[in-house]
Formats: sequence, structure tokens, C-alpha cells
Amino acid sequence: MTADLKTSYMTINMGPQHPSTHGVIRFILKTNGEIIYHCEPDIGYLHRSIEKIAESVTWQGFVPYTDRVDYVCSMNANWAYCLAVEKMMGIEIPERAEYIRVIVGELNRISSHLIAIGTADMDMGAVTPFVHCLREREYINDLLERVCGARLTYNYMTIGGVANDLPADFIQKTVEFLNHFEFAMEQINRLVTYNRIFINRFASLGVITPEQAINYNLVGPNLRGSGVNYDLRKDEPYSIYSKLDFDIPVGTGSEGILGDCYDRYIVRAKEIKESVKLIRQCLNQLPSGEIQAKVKNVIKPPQGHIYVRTETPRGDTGYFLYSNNKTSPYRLKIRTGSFTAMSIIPEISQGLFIADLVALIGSLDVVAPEVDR
Amino acid sequence: MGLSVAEIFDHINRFANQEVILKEEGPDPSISITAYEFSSVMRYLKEVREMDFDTLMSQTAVHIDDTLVMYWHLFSYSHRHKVVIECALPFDDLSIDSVTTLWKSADWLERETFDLFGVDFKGHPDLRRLLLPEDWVGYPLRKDYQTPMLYGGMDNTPSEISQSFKPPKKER
Repeated sequence: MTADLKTSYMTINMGPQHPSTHGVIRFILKTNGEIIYHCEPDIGYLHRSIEKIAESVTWQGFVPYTDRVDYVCSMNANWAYCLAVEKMMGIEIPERAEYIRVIVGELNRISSHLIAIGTADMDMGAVTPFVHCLREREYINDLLERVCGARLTYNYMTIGGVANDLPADFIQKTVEFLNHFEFAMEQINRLVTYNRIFINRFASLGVITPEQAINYNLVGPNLRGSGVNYDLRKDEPYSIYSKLDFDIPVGTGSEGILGDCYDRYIVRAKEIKESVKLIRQCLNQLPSGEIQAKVKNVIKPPQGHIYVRTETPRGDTGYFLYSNNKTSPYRLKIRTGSFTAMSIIPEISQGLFIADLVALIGSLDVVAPEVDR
Repeated sequence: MGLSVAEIFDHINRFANQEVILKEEGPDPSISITAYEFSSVMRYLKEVREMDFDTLMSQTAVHIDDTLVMYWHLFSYSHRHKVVIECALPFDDLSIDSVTTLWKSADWLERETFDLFGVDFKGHPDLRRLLLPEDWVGYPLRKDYQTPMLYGGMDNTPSEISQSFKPPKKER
């Protein structure tokens, strides 16, 4: 009787409406018992053809669409696009606008990393830290709402500067928030980041070697988690980052193997502290003056192409622009950090437990709309 | 810091047998090579020590008149230099060698370009549509693409209201 029994891999569908896939992503898992033999991500559920839309709107008219590319850090997404167009046209933006950009960009980076940390905890079953993270994020949303009127899709940066000046008591409110937040972040770290139970769950799991990370073009915290010290803010400084003093946290494999889930997680937790440092410096040095360079209403960048990268919370976002000297882009491509982070999952997930795949996705901080665009 | 684009161009020019052009006009300079030599030049860029382009940042295409101009953006973490490789493909032969054996990130980037432009990457292990559904007809980012009026039995023609709508004239 037993000779007739055949065994085969079992195919399991995960998603697209799975709570731990961070958006609408589907995974087709071939499993051997509880162990993943092959995992195939199926993306495209959130494909909104933003690149095609870009060809029919004006250069300035595309800024609100960049919000929707990555709604968790739309300030940085605005920045990436505006910087690309400014570099293409050779626009110099006023110093005050640069400082405001760094302040709001870094505030948005904190809120994005809070989501990343919180959801990673929640995927592991720790719901309490998630609530703490979202509570702190609400304060940042309040601050940014006072700046530009929106809580999620800001549409604040424009080509040539920022849309409007900071409100009168913004500096005071932000300093108050930072004083409170540094203490709150310490609490969150004590609650979960340096918690032995959490470390044991995350350490030595889903290891990405530096060679793999570079070959798959992982970017941002995922790359630095693998021990590669590369941050565009430091290594290819744009805006005023070269004038500011901050460190780049890099994964060291302190609790397990270099490049494991915990390394990627701790890099984000440490980056939050660096962002706080950056905001404090900018608030102290904030100069007065114009917030918007003189840019014509109808802009026509010169013929040619450009590829500009900026450091967003999910790594460097590259905007490829092709202009034929018309009022709208001839071709626009967005290369995002989550896209390459998704493409490495099939290789890394081989041999993991299904529950560990959830940890891997959480540690890579994949945001679905950024993958599909 | 690593090599400048002009120095990289000199290296490629010495290595290649066919025509190599340095395009310096515009914001980003690029190096244009022929599709015939594409594979060997890319291998040269990856494996020679002075170049050592260890990552492929982006791969994309632009439909210009009757050609499809392909772009590869390479970066080297060890030398901190970058280069843009350009290759024009005629529409009657949209095929080029895949670079998935050199850079793993090329896998999905090439699938995306296949999905949206219909370029055949020779030697790609798994060339399927990535973002669009498998039964999609046509390649949307080509300039001559027509939006289908029927998809999966659903009527997609613009409604009468949207056709009769005209934006209000700007008063001055």
C-alpha cells in the first residue's frame, strides 16, 4: 500500500489580500511541508500606469502623481522628482527652501521608518509596538498637515522650491515634538528593538550577503543592513546634506549573521535617531529668504535624458527623464527601492518556513504601490 | 573617485571592434554601442578590474521615431563611478542579449521592459509579463499604442458625457 503513495510539492496561494504582504502582493508558494521550496511573487495588482500618465501631463502636473508612487514617504517622492527636473534644467533653488526640504523630508523619513518598524513587529505578533509607532507617526502627520494641509499625499515640493512657507510656530512645535519623540523612541527600542525575544526571532534569518545585495541592486537600509556603507546623502550629496553632520548606521551582524533581518531592522531604528539629529541642525540653521526660485509657468527642459537618484526611506529612488523640449515628459521611468527588494525574495526565501517569509518581507520594508507604480 | 565617462569611453573604444559613440550633449552623457557587440561590452564592463561595474541600477527604453533606444545605467560600488550605455534597436528586430547572467537585478528590469515595450531579451531565463496581466495585448509604452476599446468582455469606450466635456476656457 505505502508504495503507491506519491508525494509532491504543495502549492499555496498567499495574498493578494494577505495582511502581512504590506499591500496588494501575491506570492505563489511551493512548499515541502512547512518549508518553502519555491516562492514566486506575483506583482502588478497596483499597477496604475503612472509612467504612461506622465507622458500626457505637464512637468509640474506630474508632482501629485509622485505622491501616489509611494504614499508612505510622499515628501521624499516629491523631492526625488523635483530634484531630477531641477538638475535637468539647471535650476538653483533658494537656501531656505533647501533647509525646509530637508526638515520635511527627514520628518517623513521618521514616519516611514516608524511604519517599517511597527509593521515588522506586528508581523511577528507584537501588536503593542505597532500602536506606539503609529501614535508617534500621528504627531508627524499633524506637523506636516500644518505645513501643507495634507496628512498623507503632501504635494508640497514644487519644481524650484516648496509650495508655501512654514507656519509661524512650526519650529517651536517641531522642537517640542523631537524632545518628546526621543524619549518615546527610547521606550519603543526598550520595548522591542533590544528585547531578547524579538532579537531571537529576527537574528540569523533571511541572510542577504553583501555580494547578493549589490548584485540584486538592493538600496537604502536593505543594502546597509548587509554591511555595505553607501548612502547617497553622504556619498553623492545633494541639497545641503554635505553641510550637515550625521552618521550612516550599517549592519554589523551583532546578534547573528551579517545581513540578517535584524540588521536591516536595526539600521532603520538607528536611522531614526540620525534623522532627529538632522532636523535639529536644520532648525537651528534655518535661514530666512525666498522659498521658491523663479521658474516659468510653462517649462520645457532641454533635449536629452537624465537619471537622478535620491535617498528616500526605501533606498535610492531613481528618476529617468527623457525630454524632447516639450511641455510634458517624453518618457519617464521610476526605479524604486521596493522593486529590487521584491525581486530578491525568491532567492532568499528558499528553505525558510512560511512564517519566516513574513518576517523577511517585513524586514525588507516592501511597499506595494512602489513596486507596481 | 573612479573614472570619468570620457575615460570609460576610451576603454570601450579600444576594446570594441565596431562603432562606439560618446554622446555628450544633454544632461547625462551616454555611450552608444551596437547590438551585435552589446553582450561582450557588458561583460567587459562587469569583469575588468578598472571598470568593475558591479550593479545595474536601471534598464529602460525610449520609443523615438522608428527605433527603440535602450538605456542601461551601471554603477560601481568599488570605484564609485557610473556610466549610461545606450543601444538603438530597429522595430523590425527588437531583440538584444540578456544580461541576467551578469547582474541579477536585470531579471525583473528586463521583464518589465519586455512587458511594456515588447523587447525580446535573448537568453533570459523566464521572460513573461511582469506588471500587466498575462493575456494583455500590445505594449503600452510604445508611442503608437492604442488603448483597447474592449478588455475581457468589458466595454472601454469613453462615455458620451466624457466625450462631450470640454474644459472651460481660461478667462483673461
